[in-house]
Amino acid sequence: MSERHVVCGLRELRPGEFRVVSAGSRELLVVCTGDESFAAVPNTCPHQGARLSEGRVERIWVAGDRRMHTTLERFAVVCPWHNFEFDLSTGCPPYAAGERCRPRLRRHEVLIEGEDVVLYA
Amino acid sequence: MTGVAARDRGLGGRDRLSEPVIDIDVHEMLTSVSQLAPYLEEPWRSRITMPDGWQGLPGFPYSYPQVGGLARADAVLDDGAPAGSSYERMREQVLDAYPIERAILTGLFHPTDIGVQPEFAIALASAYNDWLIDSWLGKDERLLGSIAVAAQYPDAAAREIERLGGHEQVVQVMLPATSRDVLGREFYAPLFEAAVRNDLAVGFHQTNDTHTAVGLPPYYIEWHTAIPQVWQSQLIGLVFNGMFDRLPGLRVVMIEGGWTWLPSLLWRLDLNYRSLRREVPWVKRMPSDYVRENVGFSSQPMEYPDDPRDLYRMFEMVGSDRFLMFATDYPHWDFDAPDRAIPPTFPAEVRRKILYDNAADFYRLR
Repeated sequence: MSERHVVCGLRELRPGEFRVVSAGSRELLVVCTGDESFAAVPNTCPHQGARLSEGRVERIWVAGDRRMHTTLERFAVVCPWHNFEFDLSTGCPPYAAGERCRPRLRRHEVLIEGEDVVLYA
Repeated sequence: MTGVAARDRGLGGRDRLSEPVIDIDVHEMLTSVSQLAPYLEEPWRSRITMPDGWQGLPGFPYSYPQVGGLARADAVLDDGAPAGSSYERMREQVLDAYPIERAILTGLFHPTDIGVQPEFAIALASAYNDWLIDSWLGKDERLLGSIAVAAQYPDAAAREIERLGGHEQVVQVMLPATSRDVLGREFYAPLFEAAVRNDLAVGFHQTNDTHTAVGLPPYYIEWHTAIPQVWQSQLIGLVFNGMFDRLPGLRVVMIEGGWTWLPSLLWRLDLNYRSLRREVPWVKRMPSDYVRENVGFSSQPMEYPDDPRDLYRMFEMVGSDRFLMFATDYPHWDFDAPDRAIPPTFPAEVRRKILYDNAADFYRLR
């Protein structure tokens, strides 16, 4: 039976900011990814178990004109230990989808209930 | 080995192999750089014909400990000319000794190794290529050619590729497995673009100027064991500088650099990409994908493990049966015989791919 967890107020976090929510023995990382848009993933890297919240949430780096580095609107969480990236819109590395998505972060549904950001876990 | 023994062995090879072979590394050699004189204009012609003029490409710094020097002993020519400089001997010892349907000449002439006088290096490349066409490709339709370029001048290299890319027996552009620069840098893109435009592969091969990660170690055996580092570095450079993203049709072949290190390198490329992709975001796919799809490897020098099953296990770990192409490396001392080099632990259909199909597909020979 999942429990209701209030993460934060709807306008409390700016894009790229996050909260760590304890849900029983697990921790979830809840990231504001845009206006009234949130993503929740386990706070443990599936590679070697680091706490993702010790790393960094940042917009995904890509190559722009003349190969200059630029970023997408989308966010990734970058693990503090080996810098593995996870696209928060998919849970996959930015370069690998489908069968190549490895390692994967399982995304949890985040709801907005009134003025609260809520998840059930 | 006596001449009689060599012939016996050659004939045995032909008898043991009933199906055709493509050999992707056969070295045609100049007898002397003065052979290029008719193909050079002044002022460069005089530079190679005057007695104290140009001394040639960088010399090899080691004394060869092998019985025939650089060459396999029975390929050494009686008149003192370099092994590989005689078409007749090559025909006898390779082309006719085995069922060689096509042999890709790879030379050993790399104007990229010349660090000075741009116009001279560029002229030498063109002269060599004209000599190659006149002296070799015209003699035997089994022979296919690789053209020399001065890669340090990528636009000039591209012009040379455009000049000869349409020749029906030219299939490749040769580059040195150099330890002096990363040839996958964007600076060299015009050269690779020209190769793709002309539907040519780009081959990397060691030269007299190839150094290891510690430079030139004391002994030749150290150098010869360590130089695969250079092909690895060039392959890493091509991937992470984005040459395969820029040119999805680019075909690269690593010649004589070994291949059993490939499973380890593919893992390391992919692991580092997972961690460090943000530095090179123009690389859009897992690095191992580019290697499996765009890069071929010569089989020679075939490793010789105590348990030959291990060799096939390594082959399987690469994750493709298309990457490996047979090569003899004639006339050099570490020649691999087409009928003997691939151990019987390789299934027959895989041997067929290595001996023929993979090269036929990679070099578009059918």
